[in-house]
Amino acid sequence: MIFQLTAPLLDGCVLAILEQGDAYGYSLTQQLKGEIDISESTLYPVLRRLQREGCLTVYDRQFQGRNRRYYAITPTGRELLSDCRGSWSDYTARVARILSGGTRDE
Amino acid sequence: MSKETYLRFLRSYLTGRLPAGEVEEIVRYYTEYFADAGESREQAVMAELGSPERLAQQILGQRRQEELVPVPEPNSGYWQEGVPAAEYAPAVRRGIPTWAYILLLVLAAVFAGPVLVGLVFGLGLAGVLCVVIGLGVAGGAVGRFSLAGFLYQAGGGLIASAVGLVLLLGAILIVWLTAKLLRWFRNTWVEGGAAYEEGY
Repeated sequence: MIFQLTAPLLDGCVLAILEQGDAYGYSLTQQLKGEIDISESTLYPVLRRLQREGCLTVYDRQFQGRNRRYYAITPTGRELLSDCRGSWSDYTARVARILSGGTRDE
Repeated sequence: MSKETYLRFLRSYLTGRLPAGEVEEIVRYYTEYFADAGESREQAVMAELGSPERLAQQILGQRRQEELVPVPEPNSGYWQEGVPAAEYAPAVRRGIPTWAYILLLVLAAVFAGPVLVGLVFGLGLAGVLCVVIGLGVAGGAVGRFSLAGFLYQAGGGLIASAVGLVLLLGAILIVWLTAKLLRWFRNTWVEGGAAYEEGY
């Protein structure tokens, strides 16, 4: 992939996945990796920061005799996600306009 | 490397550089991550995460960036206001300062250096000579006519070259141990998150 994901976009992607349902670290990483080229080590700091900013909460659930930590989106997270969606569609529309050569004032 | 070793190294690189609770959180995250990936993917996950040292550096680097106040972007509405400032311990290992470390190195080089160099050089030279001469003598045994003479000379020569090899290995071992000791000392006792080479 030639386009790099910036931090706010990655935040948006993580929140969008969590909007579909709570997930644990590994599954979240795999879901992202299915679509975009990120490394396995990228996600921990993102999750930690989002948690600190109140965009997601965590809870533990028993799984095969051990605890598994799940991440869930919060109302603040939903707000950020909708902001992110708005900025993204605005941004892609602008870029699309430039790329298609339609910016010249006539 | 097993995942237990990997996680142990990760913990040791983070300990003292982040608050203990946070180190626990990180180690816990990756412990779970390995468990969820399953045994068959263990090596692949390790390969992708990079060495534990690199992973730790990456996490620490991220933390340092976080501690900088986020730059508000006009009209983007992305950054929320009131992101709390850092309330963390400095993300740098405490220990003897770098200048003291360098001084120690110089002192060690002045006092222990000649002994070490003499030892390594002497052992190495003796080893090489023993091997060469021993092999020469053993080779010379081919010209012997009596069986006893042949066995005697060939055996003696081979024993001498074996002794030479042991001496040579001793010299290499000393060099290796010294390097190991120096690296351990720096990683354990010297302050700061200096970028040192990979490997342990």
